[in-house]
Amino acid sequence: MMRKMENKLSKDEVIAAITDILVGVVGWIEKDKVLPTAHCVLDLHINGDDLSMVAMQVEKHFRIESTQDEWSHIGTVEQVADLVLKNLPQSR
Amino acid sequence: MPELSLQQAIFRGTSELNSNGLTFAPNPIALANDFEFSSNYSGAIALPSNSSKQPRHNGYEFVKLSTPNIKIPDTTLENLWECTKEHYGLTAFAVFAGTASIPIDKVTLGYRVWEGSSRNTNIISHIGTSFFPLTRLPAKSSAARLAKATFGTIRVFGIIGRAMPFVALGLAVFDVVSIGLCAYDAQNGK
Repeated sequence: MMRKMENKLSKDEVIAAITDILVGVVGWIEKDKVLPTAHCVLDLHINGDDLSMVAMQVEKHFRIESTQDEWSHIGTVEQVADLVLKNLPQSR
Repeated sequence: MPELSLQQAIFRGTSELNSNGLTFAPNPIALANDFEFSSNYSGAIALPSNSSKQPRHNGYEFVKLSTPNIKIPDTTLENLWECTKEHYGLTAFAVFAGTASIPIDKVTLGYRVWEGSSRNTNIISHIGTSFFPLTRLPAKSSAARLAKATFGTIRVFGIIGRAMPFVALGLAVFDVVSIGLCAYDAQNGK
């Protein structure tokens, strides 16, 4: 993944990686239930503290820095992917 | 029975006794005074006097019942204190649980808050997230299903953190009831 990140990551790849992180952190959700457009709180009913852990893991995995203001508007995996792609350094 | 003044009650009582064949003719003013000055006694009775011709008897004998000289121990506070001491451990845990469930702003702790999720966490969940992030119930277990349905998480510290306010409230209620029952039992010599 890191070698790929040095090139250009596609949105689908980012979504797949975020889905893996989400499934790994939450523990009880099936991977096929995590649709990119499903709202993690309203549709998937994932606990807020778990989502905070997912955010931490996503930032760590993609080595990005983001702000709370950006996360305040994020509810779906697709939106997380957009945030990651926006914050990825251009050299990657 | 209608409420009567003392003078009216004396008049009425005297009339009823006389209408039943007794001869009772006390000095009503003296009798009223005797009753009024008997408030420190547990009871007072006016009896028809055989010596009613003597002026100092006023037509009656006045009997005052003295208050029993028994000290009523005030044990309620002592009992409560003893019971509270007995339950001190439980009370301390209730205080701890209450403290542990105080909401803390996630952003202040450096967490990211998603759209629609709670902005608050508590110290238990924070400790779990920091030091035991993947300590979870077995994913397929019934305990995990119950925890997921109830608390939305299967992380052990997440569950404890979510449950702690209810634990604190439950313990506090139990404490109060338990101390009250203990004091009641002690009061009644059980």
